[in-house]
Amino acid sequence: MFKNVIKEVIWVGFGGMIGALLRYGTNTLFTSTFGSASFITATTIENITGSFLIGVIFSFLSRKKSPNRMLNLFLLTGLIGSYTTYSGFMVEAFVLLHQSPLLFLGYLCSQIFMGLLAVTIGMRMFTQNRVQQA
Amino acid sequence: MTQILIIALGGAIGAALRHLTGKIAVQAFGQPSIYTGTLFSNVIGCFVGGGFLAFFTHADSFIINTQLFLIIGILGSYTTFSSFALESHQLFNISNKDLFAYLFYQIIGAFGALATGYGIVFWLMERFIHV
Repeated sequence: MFKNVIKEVIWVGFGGMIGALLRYGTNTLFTSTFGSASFITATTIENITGSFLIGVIFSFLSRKKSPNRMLNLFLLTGLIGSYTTYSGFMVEAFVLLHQSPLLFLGYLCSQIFMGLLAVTIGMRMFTQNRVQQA
Repeated sequence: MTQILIIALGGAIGAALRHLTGKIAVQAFGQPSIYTGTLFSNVIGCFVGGGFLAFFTHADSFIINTQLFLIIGILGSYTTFSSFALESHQLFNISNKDLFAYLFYQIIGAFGALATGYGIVFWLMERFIHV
């Protein structure tokens, strides 16, 4: 039991390491290309692409006949989980609230809506590909 | 190079802590439940994030690497948006009532936690460090 938890933590930690580095890379690339924008930020890009990817990978992994728990933990919990962030999203919303309540609401709702939409598209896309192949 | 190592280490710690939070949540609330590890990680992470925001914006001359390690590394990885979106999507297909409660806790809960964390640290700093 304890040995299993250690193994899980190592896989999640390894994925988290890569996810955090990818997020930092996206942040750096975004700021050097677009400067520091306030409505569509690097966090927006990461959260929406990450939501799309979790939809694709989740539906792929859950259709496998023998699910590999460590692979799930590495990819979903570790890598994609760390690539996207909620604290950064909320901090940005909090800063926007000082500028304008309307901007704040727009930022909050649009990102959540887009995230949900991205998961749905990611899952549907994979399901349809499977149907076409079969 | 130092920055990359710092973020890698912080990211690994944050993700591992999130996984352990999830295990505790399953022990406490069972599965399936709207009280998931993701919910707790996000609310706790936003509370701490609010505190850091107040601290780092009002206490200048702080080493950039400390901020990268704590905010981008640990907190950034401890909280997650993708699992939040995935869990919302799953609830959307099950129950509207649960989805509404889940979104309420995630959005209002996390934002309230962030504002509370910010307020506490801001108040402490005003009182004791006189920023």
